Amino acid sequence: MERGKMSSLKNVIRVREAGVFGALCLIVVIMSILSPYFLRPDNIFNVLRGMSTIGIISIGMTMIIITGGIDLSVGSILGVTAMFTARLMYQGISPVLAIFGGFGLGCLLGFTNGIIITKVKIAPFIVTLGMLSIGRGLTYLLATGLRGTVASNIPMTNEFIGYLGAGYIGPIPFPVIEMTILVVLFSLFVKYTVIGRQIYAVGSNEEAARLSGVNVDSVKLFVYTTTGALCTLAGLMNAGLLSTAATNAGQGNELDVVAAVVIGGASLNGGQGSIIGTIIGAAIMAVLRNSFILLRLPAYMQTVTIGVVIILAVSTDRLRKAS
Amino acid sequence: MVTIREIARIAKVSRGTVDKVLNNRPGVSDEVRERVSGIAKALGYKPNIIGKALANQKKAFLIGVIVPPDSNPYFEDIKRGVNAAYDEVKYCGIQIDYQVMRSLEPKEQLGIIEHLVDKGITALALNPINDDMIRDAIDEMTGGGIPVVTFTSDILRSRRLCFVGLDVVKSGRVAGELMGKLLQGKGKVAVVFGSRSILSHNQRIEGFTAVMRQDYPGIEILEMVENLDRDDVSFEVTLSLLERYPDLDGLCLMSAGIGGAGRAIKLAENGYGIKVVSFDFIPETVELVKEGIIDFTIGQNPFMQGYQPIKILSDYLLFDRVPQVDFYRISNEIKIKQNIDELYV
Repeated sequence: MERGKMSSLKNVIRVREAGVFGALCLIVVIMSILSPYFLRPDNIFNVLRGMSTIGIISIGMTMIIITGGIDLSVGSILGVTAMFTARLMYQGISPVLAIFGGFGLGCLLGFTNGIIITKVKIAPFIVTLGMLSIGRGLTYLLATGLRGTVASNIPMTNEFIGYLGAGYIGPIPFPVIEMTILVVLFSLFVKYTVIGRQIYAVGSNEEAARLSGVNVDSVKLFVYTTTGALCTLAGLMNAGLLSTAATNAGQGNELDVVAAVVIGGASLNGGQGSIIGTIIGAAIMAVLRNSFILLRLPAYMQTVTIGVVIILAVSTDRLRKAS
Repeated sequence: MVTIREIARIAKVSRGTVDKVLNNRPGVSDEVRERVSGIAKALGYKPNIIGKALANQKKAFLIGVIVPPDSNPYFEDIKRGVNAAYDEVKYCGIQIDYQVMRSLEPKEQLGIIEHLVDKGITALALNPINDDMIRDAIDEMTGGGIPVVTFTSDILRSRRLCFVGLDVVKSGRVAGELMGKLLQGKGKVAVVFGSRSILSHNQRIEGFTAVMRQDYPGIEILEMVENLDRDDVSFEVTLSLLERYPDLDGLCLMSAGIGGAGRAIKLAENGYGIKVVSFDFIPETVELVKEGIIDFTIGQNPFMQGYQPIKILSDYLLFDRVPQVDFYRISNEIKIKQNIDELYV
């Protein structure tokens, strides 16, 4: 009985992933008809590179959403960790220490989210909304005082960070490889490790998980802290790619990331979702973004579309559950 | 040395009339004005600046300056310009009261204006918020004998003395001319700009395309794409442009997002051969000019946008000199690899 229930649950997820993958294929087919450039290898690699930072953060966001939470501060953590690292380097701190410093800050901010959510018991979206503002404010403060008193971008000239964001292995952009490795690692992690399974348990029924001996708070602290670290990696990749730690880096990324996760089949009520599904969701977002460029559509239409896609994805989830 | 008394004697008018003519003040008939200025010219009359300055030392002149919030490096350079002008005129008894706004709210600006008037300013230079209450305040001050100069952006139909700023369409024309010369009149170019919803970006495009159409018909503008002033978007759209047009010859980067565009140019196979013209002097732009990726970058000369209003108001206060133009155009600075280091001294 128990086994049967599990496998039917898995089927639902699989079916959902297949559906999302079908949607991706449909968009790809339409785009390849609309634009002769779309299927060219360099454009495909651009799309993959373009989705890599969003994809990497989405891994963390998937785990958070499976526990029934949400993290709206990911874009700000991306921005502030990259700016912190750049500022440390600018002050003459060794790059290795600066990078550790960036990851330390990312983990600290994620951990802070987790502590407030678990100990003060405030709704995750409120806590992380606050952190969104704190992170962005800190980004501007860290960018201040280089030229007079005003905030400005800091050029990122470190070669290692440049490679993280803009390197290649053969014809394949290095960010794509980083994303692929992390997707495989975390997919195995949530499937085969105790903590990984506990993430689902917490999201399905928090009280039941607690009663069966799961340390719910530790699980939540783990997912928020890990997401902080993943945001740092994404921030460094982003700064390396653009050769600048920008004050507005990552601004609005939380929407792309949440969109990727909900398109990928995770339920905002928790307990359901997969990293593979999320990555397909991130690919859909990236293809859409690329389509806007190739079809020469106004840039702000993209912003509207992201909002529409999020609402559509959540709505279909609700309707599917209701039926 | 010719004096006003001598001119008055020869022209057979009063000294007051001569003074009015020399300082372009009303109240003199055209016939007298012409005769007096003719005599002054013939005698080689020059105003005695030192004398005036000595006379003015007894009076105190206070120029109020209002700038928007400190979020933009641009206004640091404006402040440098204000300070440089102040250094030149402070010996003539001119003081500056520099006020930085905390928001872009018209109400806040009005509050600062009232505060400055209470302090007894004799002139005001401001970057006005475009709002009726600010226009009314400007008109009221002008009526009350406090001259006002607007800078960087103007406020329409107000009675301000003059506006000091950039002719944005002209900046776009400068970019067009540079591109036309770089490509020797033939080739294919693309434009990356911030947003269609920003007026100054549209004006730059207007100037750029006008020059291309009129003077460089051999240059084809393939595409104009928005980057929302963001580096990540800038990277993607620029790279896509370079890949879709392997035969692209020139790229004009009209606004921010320069770091991302620069990386795209470096990554693209055809990137290094492309001629690039950009705007402004943010740190990423300076790096790319030094690396030889960007050929020319066009600055808005914020230093002069801060310097000129103070000079104009000082001249008005000290010497009654009325500005000759309603719109005092600041010319663009053009920087290349060889002089980009001269910034921020």
